Amino acid sequence: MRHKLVQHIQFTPVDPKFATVEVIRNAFAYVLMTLPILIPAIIWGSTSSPGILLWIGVFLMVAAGIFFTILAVRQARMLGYVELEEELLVRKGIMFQSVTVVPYGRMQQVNLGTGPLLNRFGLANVELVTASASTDARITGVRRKEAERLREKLTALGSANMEGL
Amino acid sequence: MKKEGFAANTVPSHEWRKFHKVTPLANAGAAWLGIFTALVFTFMEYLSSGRDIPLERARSAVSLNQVLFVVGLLFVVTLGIIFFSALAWKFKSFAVVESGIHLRHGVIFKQHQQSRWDRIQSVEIEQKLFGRIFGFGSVKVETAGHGEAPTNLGLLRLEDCGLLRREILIGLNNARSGRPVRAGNPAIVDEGDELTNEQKQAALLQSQMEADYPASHPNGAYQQDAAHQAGGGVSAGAHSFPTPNGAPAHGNVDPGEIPVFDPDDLVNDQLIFEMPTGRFILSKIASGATVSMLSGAVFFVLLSIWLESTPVAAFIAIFGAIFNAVRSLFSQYGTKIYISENGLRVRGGLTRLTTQTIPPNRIHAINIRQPMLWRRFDWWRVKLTLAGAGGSGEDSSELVTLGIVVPVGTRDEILRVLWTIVPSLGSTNDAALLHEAMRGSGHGAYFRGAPDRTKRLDPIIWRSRGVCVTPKVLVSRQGRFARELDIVLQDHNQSLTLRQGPVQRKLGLATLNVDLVSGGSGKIKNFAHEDMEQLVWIENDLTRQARKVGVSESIEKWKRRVGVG
Repeated sequence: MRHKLVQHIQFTPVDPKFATVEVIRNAFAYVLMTLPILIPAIIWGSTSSPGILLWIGVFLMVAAGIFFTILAVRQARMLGYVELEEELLVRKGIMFQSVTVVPYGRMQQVNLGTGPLLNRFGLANVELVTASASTDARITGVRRKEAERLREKLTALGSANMEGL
Repeated sequence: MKKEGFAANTVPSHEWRKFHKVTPLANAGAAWLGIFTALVFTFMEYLSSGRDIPLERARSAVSLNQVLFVVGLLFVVTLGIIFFSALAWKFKSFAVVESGIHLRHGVIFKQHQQSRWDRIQSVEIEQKLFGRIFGFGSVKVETAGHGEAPTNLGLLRLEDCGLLRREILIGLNNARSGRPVRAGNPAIVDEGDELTNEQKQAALLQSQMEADYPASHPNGAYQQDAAHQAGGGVSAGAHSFPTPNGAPAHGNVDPGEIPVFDPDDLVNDQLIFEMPTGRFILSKIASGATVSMLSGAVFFVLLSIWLESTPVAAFIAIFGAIFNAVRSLFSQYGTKIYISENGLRVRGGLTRLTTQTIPPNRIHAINIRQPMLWRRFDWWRVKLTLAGAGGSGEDSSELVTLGIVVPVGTRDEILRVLWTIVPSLGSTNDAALLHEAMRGSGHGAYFRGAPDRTKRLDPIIWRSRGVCVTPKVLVSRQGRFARELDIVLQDHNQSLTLRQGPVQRKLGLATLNVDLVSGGSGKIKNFAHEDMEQLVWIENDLTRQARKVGVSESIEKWKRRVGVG
């Protein structure tokens, strides 16, 4: 599916490795969540009759895991950003799509963040903070070098165009 | 909040000032109020549990000694509270200096609160019950930043509050224009400085004050030294309880009213709105909350008749709802709006009078709302989105936290307030625009409505939705039953988000969120997708231009326009 909003602008996608990160993250979470059902299912599943319910539970968990992993991968592919002359655009979402427009002068702060998994793949998150708590402009999973470049550029642009609230 | 010792060196020791000596007593009063409330609640709970009160049995079971013991205990506790508050008072002091406003307190765990000049958002005077009875108040300094507690300077004598607030406001003005903070402050004699505008003005004010209000202090018995400290040498007798009624700007004197000291209003403030109590009460009755509460009450009465027993818990719940309604009644009671040289000044409250000054550039958006039952009276409520508001905890009134400036006003009244806030909406005919915003539906001369296909997703309110942009404001309206319009000042828009959900995508609709300091407005919903795509860029351009020009007025422009000060 394509993103339907602001189609006339070419967005830069985030690093493809971010999709891999999402797969690992989801797989790990769902394996952990499935284990408490899977273990009793293996022990009692074949002997007692309500054991079948446990197997149904396992099946549902696996199905949900696959569904949400695929969703996360597709969401990761949809993520994108573009630096225009005076504003930054951030695109996200498949079902609920959104494009956020943040003028450089409105940026109060640019935060970089990374976790152990992201770090392993050399990725980072860039978060733009405006004076509004409802501005949701997070670019997840860009390559670290690119993240540093973005941060420096955005911070410089932000302070150059800084305006009052 | 900074550690002790960090800023202590930046404040010379002679700059530290004390609060009024009555502060410990006020604390004891608050403690008593707490005990009293607890007793009432216990009693209520006892009642609600449905048991009789065994008064007779209690009288025989409790001996005089026991009663005396309890009374003595309360007395000792009160003394203890006074002692500890006196101790706390001894270690509590504040200073207004070049680096900001400092407040230090704490006997064992010392705390030092510093509000830098460039971070101060508002300076208010607050009076609680004790203060209202005895003529004391505190000055509340709010700073920008989420969830930061305001600095509360109090208790002080009311007129000292006024002076202190004036001092802070002058300091604020000086700090913002790069002058030394003390420049032009009449309370602090500065040597050899040429007379600045403020100084002249303050001196003028001073003389007018002396002329208008000869030394006749109702609370003259109280000690004057705190006044000397806060005023820095201005004789305390010179500013005695000028009431707003006494000011010539809004004539008629009502001697029955509790004298309210207003810090700067003296001569110059102009009253532009005054809420009649009758209308206020009626408006509360005609609100949705009250109607649902009443229908709930009727339901329970019928239920209890049918069951032939009384569900006490239900009545307690209803009492709770009434209590809440009354509380909001208290905080907004008698709201008055003045225009002053420092911005809009809003004052209200029954047991606790709060005065808030809103500089014009702190106003980011205006929300005007009309609940369904108010329509026949053509009443409206005005609420402002303010920078730096919120996060002040339970201590603030609704006036402050919610930004409600006009709890209920007629259309003419709210328009007058609105024009004071925004002199122009930036269209060819602002009155027609507003009329369309308050009454119109669908497409109009100024407004773009939602397309017909919206009704499949949004069958009830779709026709009332409308949006209009001008170089100065973005106006959106919605509401089938309650009508509501939001006016966002273009230069305060932080970011824009275009959104589309799955059903919206099917129908070719989209939502535009305008992010403001307080959070998104998110009310430009379910319009045609192509309109919204256009609107994002138009609005983005308009906000960019507006930021360069500045839609909000500076305080100087404000003064010139409203002709105050």
